[in-house]
Amino acid sequence: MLRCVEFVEQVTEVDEAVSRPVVRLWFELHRIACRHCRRYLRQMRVVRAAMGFEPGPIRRAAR
Amino acid sequence: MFATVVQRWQGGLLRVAQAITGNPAAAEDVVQETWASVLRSLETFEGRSSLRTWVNRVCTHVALARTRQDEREPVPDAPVVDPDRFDEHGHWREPPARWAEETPEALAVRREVMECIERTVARLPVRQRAVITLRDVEGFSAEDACEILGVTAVHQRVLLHRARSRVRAECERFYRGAA
Repeated sequence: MLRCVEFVEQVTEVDEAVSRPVVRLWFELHRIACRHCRRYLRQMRVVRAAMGFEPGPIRRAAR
Repeated sequence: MFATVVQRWQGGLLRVAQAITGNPAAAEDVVQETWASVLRSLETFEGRSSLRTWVNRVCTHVALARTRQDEREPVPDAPVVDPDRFDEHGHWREPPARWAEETPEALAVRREVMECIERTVARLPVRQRAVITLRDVEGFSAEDACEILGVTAVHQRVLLHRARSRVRAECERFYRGAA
């Protein structure tokens, strides 16, 4: 069973779809069971998506 | 034709150059040098990647050369979340704080948060800065980012993981401070 401390280190591997199937399975099971890790994962994805949005200071900076 | 390409890609190249150099004026110089270099060496373009990827690779190399930092800077091996936030069983002792904005759309229009993200990205080590800009701001694929930066897929993922984790952590710090 994946622990929270391991879950946070797997987020990018899973999102990049390069993790082994067994790791992906443990990751999903942990995600379902742990609301704190669900929040952590959501925040990682929210930040990532927000960075690509327009308008935003990051994208405006070079204009 | 060339003018159209320049116009279309100029903004993205400036963002990548600025992410690496950390300096708007230097970024302008880098992009200018990039176009000059592209014109000089266009006949060497073999078409193994897209032209946009290749031009960004030239830009990245010019920018990295200007930073005078070791391109092979070691990636820290430390955990991305402070180990003290987990108990002896590896479960959260201090879980992630709740954020007022929980969608990308809401976060993107919260100016203070986006400025916090921008400051954090600017303070990242140069290769982490470059990879998060290429992937999350410019929308390049993992494969293209590897090609542009000249790094392996594993190295690219490690850099990206550290960069994204750091940005999330700083957003969390921001929201804790704002609470």
